[in-house]
Amino acid sequence: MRDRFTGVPCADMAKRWRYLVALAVAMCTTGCALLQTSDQGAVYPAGLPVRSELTQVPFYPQDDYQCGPAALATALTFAGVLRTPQQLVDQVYLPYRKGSLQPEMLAATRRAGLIAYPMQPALGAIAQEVAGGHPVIVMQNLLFEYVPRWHYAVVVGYDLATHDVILRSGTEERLVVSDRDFESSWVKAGKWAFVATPPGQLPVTASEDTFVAAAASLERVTPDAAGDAFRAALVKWPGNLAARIGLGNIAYGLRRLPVAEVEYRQATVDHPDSGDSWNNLAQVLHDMGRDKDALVAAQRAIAIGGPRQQTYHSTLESIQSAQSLAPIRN
Amino acid sequence: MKIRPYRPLGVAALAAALCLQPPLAQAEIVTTDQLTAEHDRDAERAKIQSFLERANVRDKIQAMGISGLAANDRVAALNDFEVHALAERIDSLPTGGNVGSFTNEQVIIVLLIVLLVAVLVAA
Repeated sequence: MRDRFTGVPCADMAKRWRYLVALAVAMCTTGCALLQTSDQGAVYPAGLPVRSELTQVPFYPQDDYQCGPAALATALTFAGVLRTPQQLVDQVYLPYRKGSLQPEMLAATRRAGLIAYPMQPALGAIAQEVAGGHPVIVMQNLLFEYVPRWHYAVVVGYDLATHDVILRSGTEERLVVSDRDFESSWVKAGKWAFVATPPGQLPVTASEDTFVAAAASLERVTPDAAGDAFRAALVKWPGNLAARIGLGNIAYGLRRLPVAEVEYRQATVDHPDSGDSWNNLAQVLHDMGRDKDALVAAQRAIAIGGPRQQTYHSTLESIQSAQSLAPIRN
Repeated sequence: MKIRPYRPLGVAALAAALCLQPPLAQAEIVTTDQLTAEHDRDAERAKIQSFLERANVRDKIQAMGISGLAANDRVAALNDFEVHALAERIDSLPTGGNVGSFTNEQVIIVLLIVLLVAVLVAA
């Protein structure tokens, strides 16, 4: 084999090139064809209004490279937190990369006190959110898979009859594209999308785990707002453990110990098998000086066990060491 | 005997580490983040890993043209999962906004295509 490839005359070389190019073209067209068939007739959920457009969504034309801050300002302002792209440049823009990273778009949404809810990867879900009054921030790849041109835009409308998607995009205030073209640019960016919603308001397509995780991420940045989100989650999913403990943790962080105790205790009632609930209850009781009750709760947590056993053991140890010191103090 | 030179980098790293240190008072509370994390990793290990990754991502963001204070605030707003993703591959993750410019990689691809066409025409 190797001999055949040494000293190939120029003509043969050119033939091989042509073959390679033909192969590449064939592969590319197959790829495109496959993409088209999967795109044909985007699937929309039943019961969706035929058309919907959020005309009240503001428009911030983007400056050079700064579609991230512009798209974000559009969504945040509509959700009730007034921001200009210029104010968000410091939060999401990376000068040396001339663009904005996806995780930082979510993080900046949290800094505005809003839930950054990552969407399920379906055009139908985007339409549902728009119909429910939430514009959707999307990432698109406007060029090719291997020569990408990444772009953020905001979906503000759709029309099932004309198969259109309406966007605030770059310097276009109302860009209308076919849902097929939109979806192909969106697929090339990994179908990434999110909504920025006021914490007390659930996204239309919210799933329990994803929403509560989004609220937990908000807790580290703006605890007050996260409290609203946990309460909204508990209205919709009354038994949710993380939301209940989250409310306790927020109160604990603010040293509102009796409130924290109530929430943790409720968590142990709703989920008697949750070691985390018993552990946190033990800690707050210990902080309030009720070490006898704290000890019982901590032992309960350890009996249940789980991946955070080590935390339970340190809770128990700190209670026990306080108890052993108590007589000396007295 | 030589006096050990002052090492600003080491001092800066230490200062950054101190800034990012989680409050010790809450050590015994299971955080909501831990509850909603997708993987039940060893909690203590995960905490240490996240702590190191946050310092790492902070440095990388700073190296991409952001001041130290702003970089601190930006990293603080990320969740552990996002920090991990950025720590692993911040350089290969897409940055939306590059309309109108090409990366080096793209320029090379275009040059290769031009070369390919040139070869075909010549043949």
